[in-house]
Amino acid sequence: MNSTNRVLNRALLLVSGVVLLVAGATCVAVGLQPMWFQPWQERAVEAALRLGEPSIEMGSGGAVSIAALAGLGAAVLAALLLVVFVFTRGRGKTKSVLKVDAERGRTVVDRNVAETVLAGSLAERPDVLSARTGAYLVRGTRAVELAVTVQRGASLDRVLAAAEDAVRAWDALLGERAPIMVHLADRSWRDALRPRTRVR
Amino acid sequence: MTSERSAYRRVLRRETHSSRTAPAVVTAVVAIVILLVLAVGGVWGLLDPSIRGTAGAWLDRAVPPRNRPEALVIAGAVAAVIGLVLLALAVLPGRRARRARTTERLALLVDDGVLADAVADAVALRCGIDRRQVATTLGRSRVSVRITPTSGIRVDESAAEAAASEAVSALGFTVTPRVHVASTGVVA
Repeated sequence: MNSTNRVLNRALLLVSGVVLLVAGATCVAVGLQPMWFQPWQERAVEAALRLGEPSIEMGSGGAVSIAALAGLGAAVLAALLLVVFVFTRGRGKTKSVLKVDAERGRTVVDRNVAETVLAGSLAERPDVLSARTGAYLVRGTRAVELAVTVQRGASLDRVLAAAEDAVRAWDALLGERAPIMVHLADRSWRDALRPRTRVR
Repeated sequence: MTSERSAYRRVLRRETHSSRTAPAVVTAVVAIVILLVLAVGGVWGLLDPSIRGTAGAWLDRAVPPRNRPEALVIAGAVAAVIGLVLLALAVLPGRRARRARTTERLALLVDDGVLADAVADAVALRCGIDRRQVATTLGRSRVSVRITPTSGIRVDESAAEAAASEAVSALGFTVTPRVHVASTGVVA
């Protein structure tokens, strides 16, 4: 439920995929039929030499080509942008489930309250293995995810009814309706380690 | 209300599709490493030209010149396959095995595994057989139920079908059940 920009994810995958595919196909073609690519190779070497010609003198006496410096700068810039990309994934979590600004102050409800009220009552049920909540900002609205992992053999409609009861209690406590998503989740490998209480 | 509906629409669409964050982050990290190695190598090469000779000698030892074409083909094929996988990840919708709907108050998201378990349990209960004798596979619009009967006891296929569709519709989803009873039973 986070607000990761998924278009950007796919754009990065698309660009890297195309680059790898084209480069890989070229390598295969050159490896299989070197003769066909001989003229191209000569032209490429020539172009590279011409591109590397303009150079600036270094203090120590050597000359550095401007193209090499530009390439270096581009590589560092691209690496920096990619670092920013990696660290902007998975955003959108919030610490509070409600924020109300009134004349004489602001009321903030922490997400731990949602954890206790919503998840707490469900986790006590014998047919529920675990229940947890998360709070997210979805288009400026604070939304709550209530993820419930049920026991093997549990009646799903009964669990759903219990979740709806918990949400009703939550609405009454909060005094307003906030978007809530109930997620009946698969058991993970960690749930196999939990004690198996039989459904009563 | 309308903002709640639009939030539900957005959340459920996103939760039923893969985010592609994991492959994108892996790709980005690999690209960062390659770019940094290139940049460091480039600076080193500019500052100390003798390193180019060393790198060339190292390459000659790792891939002798007469093996170059084969190495090029293999490396190119590996790169092309990885590129195809990344392209597929970028273009395919990436639906997750979940289904979603909204109720009057909630957005409901159910993993297909949970529903498949519920179907298997319901069918086993209705047919009076052990839970291990029922296997279910949940597709997008149909559920296939394979029953291995207990030897000598007939399984009522229509009852199994009804149990399967009731188990799914209890949560407000609809699927078409398809029951297949194995011709040989087991001793249970």
